[in-house]
Amino acid sequence: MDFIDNYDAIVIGSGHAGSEACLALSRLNKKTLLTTFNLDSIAFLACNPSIGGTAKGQLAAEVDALGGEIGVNADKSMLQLRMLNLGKGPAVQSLRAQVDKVTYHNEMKHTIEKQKNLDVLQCEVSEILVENGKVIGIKTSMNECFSCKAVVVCTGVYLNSKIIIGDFTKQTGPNGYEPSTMLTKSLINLGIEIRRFKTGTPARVDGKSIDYSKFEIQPGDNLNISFSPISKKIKNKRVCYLGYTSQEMHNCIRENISRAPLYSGKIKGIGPRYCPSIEDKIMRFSDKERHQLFLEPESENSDEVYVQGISSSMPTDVQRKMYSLIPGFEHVKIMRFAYAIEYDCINATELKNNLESKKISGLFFAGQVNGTSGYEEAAAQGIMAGINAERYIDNLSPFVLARNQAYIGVLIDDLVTKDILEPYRMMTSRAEYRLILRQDNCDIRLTQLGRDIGLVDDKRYKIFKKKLKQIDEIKTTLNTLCNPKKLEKLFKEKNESLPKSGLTLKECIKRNNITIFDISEHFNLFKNIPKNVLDYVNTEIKYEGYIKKELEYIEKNQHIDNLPLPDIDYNDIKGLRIEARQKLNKFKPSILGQAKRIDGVSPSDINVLLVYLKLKGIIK
Amino acid sequence: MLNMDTIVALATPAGNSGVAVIRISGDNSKSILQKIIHEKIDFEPRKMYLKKVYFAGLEDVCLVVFFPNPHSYTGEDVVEIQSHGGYFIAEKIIDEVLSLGATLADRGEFSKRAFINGKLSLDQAEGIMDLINAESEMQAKAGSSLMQGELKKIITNYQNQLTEILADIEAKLDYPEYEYTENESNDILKCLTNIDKNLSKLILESSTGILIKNGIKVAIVGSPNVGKSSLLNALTKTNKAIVTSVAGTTRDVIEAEYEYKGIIFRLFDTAGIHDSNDIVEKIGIERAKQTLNDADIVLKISDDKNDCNIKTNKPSINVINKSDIITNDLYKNNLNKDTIFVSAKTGENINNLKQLIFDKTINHKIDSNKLYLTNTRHIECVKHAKNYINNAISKFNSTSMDIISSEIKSAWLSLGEITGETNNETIIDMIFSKFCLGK
Repeated sequence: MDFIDNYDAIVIGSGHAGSEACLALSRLNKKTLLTTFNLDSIAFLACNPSIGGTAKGQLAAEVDALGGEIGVNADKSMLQLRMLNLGKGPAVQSLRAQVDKVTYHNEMKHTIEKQKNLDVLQCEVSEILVENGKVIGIKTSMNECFSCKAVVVCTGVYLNSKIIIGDFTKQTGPNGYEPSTMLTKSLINLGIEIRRFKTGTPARVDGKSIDYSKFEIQPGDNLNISFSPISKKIKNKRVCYLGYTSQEMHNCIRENISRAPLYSGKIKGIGPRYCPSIEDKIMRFSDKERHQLFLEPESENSDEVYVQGISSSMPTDVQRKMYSLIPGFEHVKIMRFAYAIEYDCINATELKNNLESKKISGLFFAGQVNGTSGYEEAAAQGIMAGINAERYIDNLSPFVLARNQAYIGVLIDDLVTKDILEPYRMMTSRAEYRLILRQDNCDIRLTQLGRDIGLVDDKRYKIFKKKLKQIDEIKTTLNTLCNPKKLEKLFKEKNESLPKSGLTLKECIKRNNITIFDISEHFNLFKNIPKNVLDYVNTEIKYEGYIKKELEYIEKNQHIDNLPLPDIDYNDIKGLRIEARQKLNKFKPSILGQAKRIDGVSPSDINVLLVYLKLKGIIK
Repeated sequence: MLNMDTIVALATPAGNSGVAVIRISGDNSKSILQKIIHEKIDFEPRKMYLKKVYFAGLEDVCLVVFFPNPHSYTGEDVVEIQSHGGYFIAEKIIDEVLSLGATLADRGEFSKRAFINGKLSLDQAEGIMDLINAESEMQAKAGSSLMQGELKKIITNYQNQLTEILADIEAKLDYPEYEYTENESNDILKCLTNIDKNLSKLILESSTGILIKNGIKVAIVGSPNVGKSSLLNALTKTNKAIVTSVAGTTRDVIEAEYEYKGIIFRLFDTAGIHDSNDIVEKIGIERAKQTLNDADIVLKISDDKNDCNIKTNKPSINVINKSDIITNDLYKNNLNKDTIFVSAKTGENINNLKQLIFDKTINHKIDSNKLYLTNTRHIECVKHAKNYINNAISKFNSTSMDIISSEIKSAWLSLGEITGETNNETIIDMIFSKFCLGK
């Protein structure tokens, strides 16, 4: 076969997974090719113009901490930054940024263009070339071939995608971008199982047609930070708006429900429960009088407005009518209609926990093609697939994050062990070690690992080291003993009972009503320390007991969870229920912890397995 | 498969009965059945066959049935043979099965295999073990309700309530646009308080459960030679304790037990407590004092010559022995509710004494329709769960929801440890079925 060029790795698709994957590979000195249908679609924000959100903020910051690009790119295009759940506790606080979708694309494209070891080519990949169960290259629709040792498939929603607006359907990707019509066949030929998922997006409307007086302003928070610690602090440039649906709108949807593709049976793909269309919300929760919606700016240089909360696949005439029944939308002009989109994706349980196919060596998958939804979920898989493709090429052991190390670990573990039946979105409740996996300690958890792998550059590492040093200093200061007399005024003010004997400043912070900020103000301390560093220390102290409990729990379970499972034919273990035998044989979990989390494997099946391992002398 | 033998045992009580059931479990059970009926049929699962069974040169017409794994009691291949009753036939059939390669099952081994093969949950298996080891009716009852999953039902109910609360909290944590209203907070608090109350009750009543399981310890104390040992013999209808007219005959603590109204009472006959120079008796007296401390109830024995001056803060009954020879009416007229006049020798009032002991230790606590926690592991789990719920309640208004959620989750996990089941997905599924969420 004639190859136009030889690469170490080729990344198919330039969305949020593909961007991270190609950057990770090239930064780890692999000669990399990024292919995309359309160079103008690099890091295109096809849905919300925002990055982050509950649990997603953590994911984005984790990618950033490992040396990824999503956080920095969000900072470069930031319109507004908020910290969600401020009143609900540090474990569930997450950053959410409104970004300029035009700038976001431009900045990512430029970063990729500037990157050493990275080529970009606009083309359609039609075939993945495999020899003896190993990836050897790719072929394009124009019959050009490129050789490589590893391929990362990041095709997002573009495989055989079809958009649906009422009766109207069209084979197309989002925003009129071309769909990929040949690659699915190549994947099927390689023995990869294909499934069909669905998602949707709301309409974009003309800002000047909106009566903003009927909405509530949602300004950004004055956080004085950025998504990535290596970016400059950002300023809030734009506001969002909060509004509600009306009974009239609900009635309009009910009257036309038979025309909704979801209900007429036109849509066959499986959609996500957490991201229902407005027609789905109204039919499933009919007792709810109104639903919230948010107006988000698409770009600083545009009047296009994203109507969060009102995704739909109703026919255009119903869309025109129903949007106009939102208070404030009486004269609204739709610029782009809401639509549903169906696409092919793979069953990610066919992947190993390094995101490599179990069947074909060197074939990696990342992003929405694995059945997830969301930019942050995609980026997280992208960077991990990129790192692991490099490690595969260089014959290094896989880089896998545990569920107690990162949301990334939770995400990938869930994907490869659970039969995902709908697009998967990260939520804080999916993480059993939520108190440890916080937004404020992503860098503490992961930056050293990123450095060891080779993705964290000197600039980021220096900033990280400085933060560690600051934390050390703060902790030393807080361990000093303090005379109760000096605390009298503060404790009285804060309604705390004054202890008789001296206590350390750290012990003061453990009191319900006293924070590190009260202490720093009272004693005039930590003047040059950034607020987010103090936040981190404050949380660590206040949550110490709970964190300790979680760590103990991890330790208690680690032993049993990390028990290696030998290659057993589970059909031989008659005590297992049939479903469990089938699932275990299908997934072939490498450790007991994974077996535990497989859907269809019950706790009593695990008991059976434990007894078996014990009797076989595999565990003591 | 685990290399486990094929086991056999009589499943019905030994002795004379109309029918005897012999149970065989393991990989070879089917082939053993084929051999013993001299016929190689492919048995239809769970269907009764009327067949001649051949053993020791004899034959009996039996009902035989084959349960292929995993749909059997043990989860293995199981065969049951219903032979004619009488121990002789059953024993000979079992001998024949043994000669065909099976081994005799240990006590509880069928159930153990059922647990190993995932047919029984942890608490059910524990219940069966309790049942097998039960010595009294109430013990058996507690074991049997465990086995039937009564405890699991109760625990699952509390777990479900906690799951609902968690789903509620988690939804609001993952979807910042939803905030708590005061009413919602109050509802959660009310529900938590209610669960707390119920768990407290379970724990409180578990002391009764422990009494049922372990039996009630009854210490017999008194001066030498007032008839403590005779009383032990009279209560248990045995001659376990040596009775002589020599004071100080009992030196070590003598144990014996009797069942009364389904409860086991463990008697501890002690050396007469007095100043003694005999070194052996002295040790005995020390042990007597120790026994006194461990007892649930103390019988203070006296007669017309010796009062019982032993002091204890345990519930106690003054037992005046030798009613057969005491003629002084002073005693008979001076009775109160804690005093009883008995004769170990003639048996007078011994049954009334049993009733009195029963009344003072357990009667007011027992409700035969109720489930009592009898297993210390279960009690520990419930205590842990209660602690976490207490934390959640006390911090509810002063601490952020991520912590409250963590406490409730811990409570949920502690309860799950009882049945051996824990599962996080249920919470997430609940969120979706209950809330309208989305972007």
